[in-house]
Amino acid sequence: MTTAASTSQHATSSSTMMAGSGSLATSSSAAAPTTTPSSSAVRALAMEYKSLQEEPVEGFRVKLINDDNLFEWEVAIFGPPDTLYQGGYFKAHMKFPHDYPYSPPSIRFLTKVWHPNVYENGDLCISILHPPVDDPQSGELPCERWNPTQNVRTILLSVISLLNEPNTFSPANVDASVMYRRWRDSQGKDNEYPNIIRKQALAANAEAKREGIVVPMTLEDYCLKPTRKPTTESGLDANFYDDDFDLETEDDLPSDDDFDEDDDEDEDEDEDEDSATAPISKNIGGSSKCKNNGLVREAPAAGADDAESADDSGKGETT
Amino acid sequence: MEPFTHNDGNRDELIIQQKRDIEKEISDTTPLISEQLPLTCLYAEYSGDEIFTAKIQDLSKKYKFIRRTRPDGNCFFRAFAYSYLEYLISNSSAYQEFKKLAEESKEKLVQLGFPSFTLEDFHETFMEVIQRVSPDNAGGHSAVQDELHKIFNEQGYSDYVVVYLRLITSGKLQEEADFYQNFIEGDLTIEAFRHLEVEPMYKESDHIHIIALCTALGAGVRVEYLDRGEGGTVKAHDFPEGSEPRIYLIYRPGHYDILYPN
Repeated sequence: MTTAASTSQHATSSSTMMAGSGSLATSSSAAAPTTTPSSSAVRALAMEYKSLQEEPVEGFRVKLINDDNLFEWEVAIFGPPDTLYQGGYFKAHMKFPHDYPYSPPSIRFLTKVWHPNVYENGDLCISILHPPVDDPQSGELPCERWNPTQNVRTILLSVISLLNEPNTFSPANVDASVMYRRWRDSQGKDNEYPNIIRKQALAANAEAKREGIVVPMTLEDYCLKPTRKPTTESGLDANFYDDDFDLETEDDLPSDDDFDEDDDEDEDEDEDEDSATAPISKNIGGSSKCKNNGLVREAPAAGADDAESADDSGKGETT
Repeated sequence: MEPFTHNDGNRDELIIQQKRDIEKEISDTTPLISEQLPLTCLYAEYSGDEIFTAKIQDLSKKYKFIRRTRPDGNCFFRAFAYSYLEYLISNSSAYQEFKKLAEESKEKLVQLGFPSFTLEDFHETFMEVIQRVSPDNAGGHSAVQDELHKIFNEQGYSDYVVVYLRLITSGKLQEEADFYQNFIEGDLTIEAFRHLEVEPMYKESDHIHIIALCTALGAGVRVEYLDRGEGGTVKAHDFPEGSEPRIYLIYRPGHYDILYPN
């Protein structure tokens, strides 16, 4: 319990989030978990769900299919602007096993998605959701495997980047994979693949309209979130963007500690951070994160990645 | 050339389901950590087997008791944690040192790229467990000892401790990747090995896990190997080499339990 207070200072992500998770964790552990195998699962899912309500992942909405069942979520994905998926509104169900977070959840799209890594029945095949069984044949990079520190947030970020950068080593939909490669290898001349996707996105957009949902069409809208606090939980670029977020937190929540340091860093950082444009620079920060996630990719990397296409040319194994 | 088809997906599902069924059967019949049992209880498992009987006899000269762990692939980590905390309960200064080390470990792991939101949760639980078995807690040694046993048989806590030790192990491998790469067979990178063999629950431990964890926590482990090897005596190995053991484990092919020296 004392640890909750002391650790929240370390704040690698936003400080309010830490405080939130800390209090929840302590309260649930004080309530003496039962010995059922799923007590960890309930605790972890409650914590993640709460956190995602407070600070959604950009481009996603999550809700419980049934309010008293934490193990089945409905996820809505907005197609990232400036990609083939722009305007799309894709619904999926996420099912968590009873030994979550030791085993990964599964994701099934309810909306039709033509993608090399989505089975015909909608099941999403992505390495981060694979339990760590030994299948060296799968051709996946092992660095993306499930481990108990992965969470819904890291999964959703992986899904978004997979949409635009399919893994053609282990396709779930071989036809889509072949078509995708034809498009990519022809540098966009063979446009059967993008046409299908755009058509699907359009259909999904119509569906969204029927449901009264406004799909964000610009990067700004896409990255703008109700709670105004984009967070990167996915390791690598976390530190870089945290500076932006802290700056923003400072405006919103004048309560917290170590901002002096951050301010100094921000000055060194870049010209976007002028105080007058702070609210806008926040969005720029967000959008450049989108780029990092591979969102801003209209053309199929237009032959830029020779290495990438070479990769596909027959060597089916990774290691 | 395409390795994945629809059927593969279904077959994976079936295999996973079968694995879960087996795991459930084990968990319904075996506690995560047993009471202390006389070492001689091992004889019953190998009655009629001369090699093992002779070796158990040899082992019983040095050890009186054994404490069994559930064979769920986490046995090394669970045995390690239980046995080390048991030692720390009666060694206040070592306990304080360990607590400090544990406290600081989180920051290191965040820097290595683990998602801090979830890491935070595992670390908090880990620290709570450590706090609950402090040698200074009310009730004295035996009360704390009971608490330890209770915590380690509560799946939620027990497994979170295992997860956290796996992360520490993984972090150590990453930190000294050049060194540990030498221990890895085949052409797996350290990175791949960590994600496939260390971080996931239920993955069994090998020497490399043991060395990395002992080194990271500065805790000496002696492992007694009870196997079909020749010589009639049980061979022991200390990790890290030359260290003074605080934790005593018995290894039988595929499984670790805790030992208590005379």
